[in-house]
Order: sequence, then C-alpha cells, then structure tokens
Amino acid sequence: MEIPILKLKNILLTSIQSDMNDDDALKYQSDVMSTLEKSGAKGLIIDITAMDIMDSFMARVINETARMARLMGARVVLCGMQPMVALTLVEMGRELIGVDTALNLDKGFDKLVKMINEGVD
Amino acid sequence: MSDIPASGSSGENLEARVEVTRIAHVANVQTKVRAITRILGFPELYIFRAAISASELASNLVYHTTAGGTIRIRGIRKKGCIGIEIISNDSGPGIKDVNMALQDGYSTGPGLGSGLPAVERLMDELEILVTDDFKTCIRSRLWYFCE
Repeated sequence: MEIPILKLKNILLTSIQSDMNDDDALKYQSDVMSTLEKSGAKGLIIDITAMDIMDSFMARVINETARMARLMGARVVLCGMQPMVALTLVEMGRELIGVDTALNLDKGFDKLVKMINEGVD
Repeated sequence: MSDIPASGSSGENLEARVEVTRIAHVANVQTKVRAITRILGFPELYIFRAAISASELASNLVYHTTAGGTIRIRGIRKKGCIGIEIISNDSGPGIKDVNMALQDGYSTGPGLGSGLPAVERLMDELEILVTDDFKTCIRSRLWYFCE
C-alpha cells in the first residue's frame, strides 16, 4: 500500500487510513522522512479523516511518525479526527496521542503555518 | 451464566470465527464485529468500543503468540440487554503476569502497552485465563441495556 505524500509550499501532506500493517507503517515512515529530507519541508500534516478505528497500533504509528518528523526539524499537526475516534481514544485511556491537533485540514494548515512562522512547538 | 445466544431473524449471522496469524487478519475481525453489533442494534459508540477491543485482542495474537490464534465473536442477549462477546484463543506462550499485562504502558512486544488495558476499559467484562500448558483464553463482553 503506497501512501501519497504531497508537498504544498513548505508543508508535506499525508492522509492515512486504518488498514495499515507493520510493513506499510515502516514504509510510510521512511517515505515521509526521506521526502522531508529531500524537500526541506518545515511542516508535516497527518490527516486521519478516513480513519474510523484507531487502535493502539495506529496510535503508535502516528506518535512515532510525529516524533521522527520533529527530530528532522519539522512541525507536526494531526487533523481530521472523527468524533467516534476521539471518544474511544479517550476511553482507551492514557495519553495515546501526543501530537498537536486540529479539527480539519483547513484549520490544521493554518495552525501549522503559524507554528512554523512563530517557531513554537 | 444465563445468556441466551441472540437469535437473529432469517439469514442473520450473529457468530463468527476468524483465524488470526497476520496483521491483515485484524481488519477481518473488525469487519465481523461491526457487522454483528450493527445487526443487534448497538449504538454507534458501542460498535466502535467493541471493534477496537476486538482489534487489540487480534493484534495481540499477531504480536505475542508463536502461532497466532482465533477470535470468536458472538451476539448474545440477556434480559433487557444485547451483548457482544469476543473470545480470543491461542496456544502459547501465554501471559507470564496477567496483572502486569493489564498495566498501562507495560508491554513485552512492539506495542504501546495499552492494548489489554484499553480492552478492560472499553468492555464491561474481561476474563483472562492462562492454562498450565501456556494456552491463553481471553473472554470479553460488552452489554447495552435496551429496555
């Protein structure tokens, strides 16, 4: 499964779904990192609009990807979380997602641009 | 236990059994759980709770067992309630310390250590049985009062 990584100005945009396995996750992460390196992008948006079930595996993939991108000097915003995902994620407990979030892509983009310009985390 | 298996009307299948050996099978488990809970008439949030729990149990079979295992899903009813039962069976190596396995952040595998604790929180009942020959059976149930 190939996950497209789109470049928009100095931001990378990716959209992920639930049906990801270990290999997909690894490939996705290394693709994002190498695109970050090549493009010199300053931000990464992880869109999860199409994700209707987030189990601890997907939570791990997202957390890891965000951490890796931060290590590469990029800011990260997660956007498009479905209401049911948010509800169950909180019920599952613990801080499963440690990433900046926004309601949708529109707001996520604004937030990321602001973060990049202000240089805040 | 006084549970009566839920009898669906014609052609409704309220039982499923999925062999889980690879991560790709986890999605099959999710699909089955969603289908059965939909037929039973669970509200949306409960459907997601059950689907995530099943998904965690299925992933555990992939990451923590030597030969995978099976997930059995069954629609159940008792007075005034509909329920979904998810049973995970595997043949080893077993859970060394069940109490530890239920602690947040404890994992012997590649996960976050939040699978079983999540199932415990999302579902109403959770029983973990490790036999002397290291087989593990996990039974979890979620109930919804509908009267």
